[in-house]
Amino acid sequence: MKSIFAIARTLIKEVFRMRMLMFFLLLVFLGATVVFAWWLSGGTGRPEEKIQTFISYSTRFITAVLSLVTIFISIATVSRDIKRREIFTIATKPVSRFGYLVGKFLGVTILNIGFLIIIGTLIYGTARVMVKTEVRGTPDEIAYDKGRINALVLTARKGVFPEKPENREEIAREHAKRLLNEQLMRTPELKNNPQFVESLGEKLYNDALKSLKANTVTVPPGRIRVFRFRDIKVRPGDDRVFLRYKMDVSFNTESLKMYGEWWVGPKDPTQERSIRFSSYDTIRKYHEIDIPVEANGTSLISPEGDFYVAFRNPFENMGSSAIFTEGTGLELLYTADVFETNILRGMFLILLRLVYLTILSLAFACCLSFPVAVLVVLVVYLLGVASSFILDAVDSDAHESVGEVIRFIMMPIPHLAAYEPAILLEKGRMVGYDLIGKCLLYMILVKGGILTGLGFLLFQRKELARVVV
Amino acid sequence: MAKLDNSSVISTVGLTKIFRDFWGRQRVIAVDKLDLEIRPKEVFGLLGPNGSGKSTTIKMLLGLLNPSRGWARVLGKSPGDVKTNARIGYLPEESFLYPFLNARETLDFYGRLFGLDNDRRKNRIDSLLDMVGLSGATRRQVGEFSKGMQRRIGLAQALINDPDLLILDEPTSGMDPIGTRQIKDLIAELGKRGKTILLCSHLMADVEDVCDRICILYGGKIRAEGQLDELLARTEQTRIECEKLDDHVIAEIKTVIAKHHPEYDLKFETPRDRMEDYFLQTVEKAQLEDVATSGARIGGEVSDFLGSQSEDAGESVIESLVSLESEKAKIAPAGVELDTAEVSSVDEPKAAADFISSLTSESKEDMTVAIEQQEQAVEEPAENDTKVVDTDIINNLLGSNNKNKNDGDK
Repeated sequence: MKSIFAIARTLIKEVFRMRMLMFFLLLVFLGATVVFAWWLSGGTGRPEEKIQTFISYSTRFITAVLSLVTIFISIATVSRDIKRREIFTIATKPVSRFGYLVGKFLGVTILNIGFLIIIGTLIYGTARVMVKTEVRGTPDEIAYDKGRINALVLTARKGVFPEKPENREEIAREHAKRLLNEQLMRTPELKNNPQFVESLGEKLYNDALKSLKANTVTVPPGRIRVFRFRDIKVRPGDDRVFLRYKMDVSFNTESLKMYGEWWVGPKDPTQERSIRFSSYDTIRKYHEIDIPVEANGTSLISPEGDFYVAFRNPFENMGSSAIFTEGTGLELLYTADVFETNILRGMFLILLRLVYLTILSLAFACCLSFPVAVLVVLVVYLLGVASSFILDAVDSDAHESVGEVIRFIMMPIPHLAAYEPAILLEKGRMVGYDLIGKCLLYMILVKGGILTGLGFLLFQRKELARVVV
Repeated sequence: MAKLDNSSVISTVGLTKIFRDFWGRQRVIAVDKLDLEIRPKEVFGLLGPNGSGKSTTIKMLLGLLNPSRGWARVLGKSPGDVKTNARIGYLPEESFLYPFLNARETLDFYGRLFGLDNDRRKNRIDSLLDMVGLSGATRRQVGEFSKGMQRRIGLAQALINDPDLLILDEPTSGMDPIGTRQIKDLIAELGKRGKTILLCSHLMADVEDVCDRICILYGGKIRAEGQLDELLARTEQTRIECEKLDDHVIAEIKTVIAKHHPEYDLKFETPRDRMEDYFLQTVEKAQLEDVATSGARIGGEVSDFLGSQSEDAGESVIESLVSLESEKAKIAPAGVELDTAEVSSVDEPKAAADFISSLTSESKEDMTVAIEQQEQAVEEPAENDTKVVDTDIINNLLGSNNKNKNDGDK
C-alpha cells in the first residue's frame, strides 16, 4: 500500500506544481461562483430564480471543467510516464502495474475530492450570500422571499409520482389476447404466418397499454380523477408539501390556460374532502402549489404516508381534456433533507462521474498515446452527456437495425445526463441515495469495472520499453 | 542448449528480441540467442557498441520488454517479478526521473516505493545525497539538474533499497571526471561488499577499472566472454614499475636482461599521471580552498547501509537465508551445471602483479620497464603491507625472477 500511496502522492505534487493549471482552476472556480453571482445580481428577476440560475450554471460549468481536467490529468500522467520513460524506474521497483494504476487513480481522485470540497464550499457560500444580498424590501417581503428561497431552492425535496394502477400490463395483455383471437377467428389463414401473428400480438399489446396509460392520466371535461401518493415522510416541523404539475390538453383553449379544481387529503378526497382550491394556469408549463401539511388541526397525510389528490376538469375549459403525462405531469414534493447535505451528495455524484472518467482515461492511456486517448475519452464523455438525447432519438426516429447498432454502441457508455446533480440542485430536489447507489453500481462497478479489467490486462502485457521500428 | 541456472543471479538461455514494425513485420534482431550467466557477488560488464543489444538485454531482464524467444531468470524468478524487484537497483541509460521533484523528494518517492519506514528512509536519503555529492542541492528540482547531477541522483535512487543486484546502464554517461571516478570507486566498493553488479557500458575504461568478468556483444550476439584479466592479459610481456631509477641502475638492469635475453627490446620511460587523476587533484585543491559551487560536489564516503548487515539486522530471515544460499552457491557449486569456467580461487601471477601495483600506487615519480619475454614468474613478496620500493627491491625481484627462471630451466 505504501507504494500505491507514494504514486498517488507524487501525482498530487505534480499537479500542484503545474502552476498555470492551478492558476487557471482558481480563476475558473472564482469565475463560476463569485464573479458569476456578482454578474447575476445586476440582472432582473426574482431572488429565487437568480439563485436557481446560479446553482444550475455554476454546477454544470464546474462539472464540465473538472471532467476535462480529470481526463487531461489522468491521461497525461500515464502517457508522460511512458513517453518520458519515468515508468522505467517505477516498473522496476516492487510495485505491480495494477498497483501503479491504482496509485494514479487514487491521486486523481484525491485531487478531485479536494477540488469538489473547494467548489462545493464556494457554491454553497455564494448561494447563502446571494440570499442576503438579493432579498430586499419590507420585512414582510424579505421574510416571504427568504421563505420561498428556502422552500424551493436551498432545500432537498423528494419527489413522488402518483401510484400507477395495478396489473396494468396484465390487463393490456389480456385485452390484446382477446383482440388477437377475434382477429384470427375472422381470418384463420393468418395462422399460417406465425411471425405476423406474433408482431400483431405485440402491436395490440402496446396499443392497449398506451391506451390504458392515457386513460389513467387523462381527465375528461366534467370528470374527477384521483391520484394517490404513497410513502410521504414529512420531517417533523415541516409545514408544507408542494404539488408540481404540468397540464397538457386534448386541444388548445383560447387563452392557452386551463381551469382546475383540486382536493387534497389523507384519504380519497372525493369521499372525504379535506382541502379544496382552484387554479387557472398556462398549459404545458410547470406550476407549483404550496399545500399545508395540516388543516384544522388534522394532518393531510395519513400515518401510513398516503396523500390523495383529486382533480376536476371544469366545463369552463370548453370541453378540452386535461392530461397529466405519466412521469412528468404530476408530482408531490416534500422536504426530505437540508440543502447542506444535499449539496454534499451532489458533489459526491459529480465525484462518481469524475471517478468513472478517471478509470476510462487511465484505461485508454495504458494503450494509446496522449492525443488519441484524449480524443477517444472526450468522444465517450460527450456521448455520455448526450446519451439520453441519442437514445430518445433512436427510439423515435431511427431504422430498427440502425437503432440496434446505436444501442449496442451506447451500451458501455454511461448515461451521464441521468446522473446530473445540477438539475436536482437547482430545483432544490434531493440528490437521492438511490440515484447515488445506481450510479455507483452501473457506472462505477459494472462499466468502470469492465474498463479497469481491460485496461489492466492491456497494461500488464504492454512492453513499457517497446520500440516500433 | 544451455540450461537455466538457478544458482546464478542472472541467467538467460537463447534470449532473443526482435523488434517489429507497426504491421508486425520483423525489422531488427536486437538480441540474438543470448546465453548469459552472472554469478553472485560478481561485477559483470556488458559491453558493445551502440545498438549492439546491451540496453535491450537489460530491459528484458527487468521485464520492460518481453523476449521474442528464450528465457531469462533474475534472482531465480521471471523478469519483472514484483518481489524480486525489491532486491534490484536499476539505473537506466538516462536518469528518467520526475523533473518536478527535488533531489530529496525523488529519493523519498523511491524509498516509499520500496516501503521503507520513515526513519530508515530519511537516514538513507541523507546518506545517499551525501555519497553522490548532492547534499548541497537537495531542494533543487531534478529538472534543473545538469545531466551529470541527474546521473548522480539516478544512481542514488538505484541504491536506496540496498539492492542485492545492481543493474547500471551507462552509469557514467554525461558525468564529469569526478563523478566518473566516484561511480567507478563506488561500483568497486559495492562489489567488495558482496553486491552483484551488471554494468552496461561502451566506455572501455569504466569497465576495465571495475569489472571481474565481461561479455562483449555485437549485433545482439556474444562475441567474447570471460574474466577480464584473462581476456586482457598480455602474457608475452613483463612490466615493472618502480620509483625513479638512476641512469646507472637502468644500465645495470639492461645489462642483466641483455645477459639473459639479448634479443629483447627494452623500453624505459617516465610514466605520466592520468588526466583523470590530475583533474581530480585540481578540483580537490579548489574544494580545500572552499570555492563556492551550485553544482555537484565530490561525494562523501560510500553509505554505510549499502551491503551492511547492521542496519538491516531486523530484516526477514528469508533474505538472510537467500544470501546464505547465494554464498554457498558461490563457494560450492557442486551439482550445478555452469556454462562458463569457474573462477580460480588463487591466481598467483595476478596477486604478484597486484602487489607491485599496490607498492607503486602512491609513488609520485614512477619508472616503467616493459620487457618482452616468453614466460612471466613474479614471486609474491613476504611483506604485503610494504609501501616503500627502492632499487634493491627491484634488484631482488629481478634476482628472484632469474632464480625462478633458472629453476624453471632446470
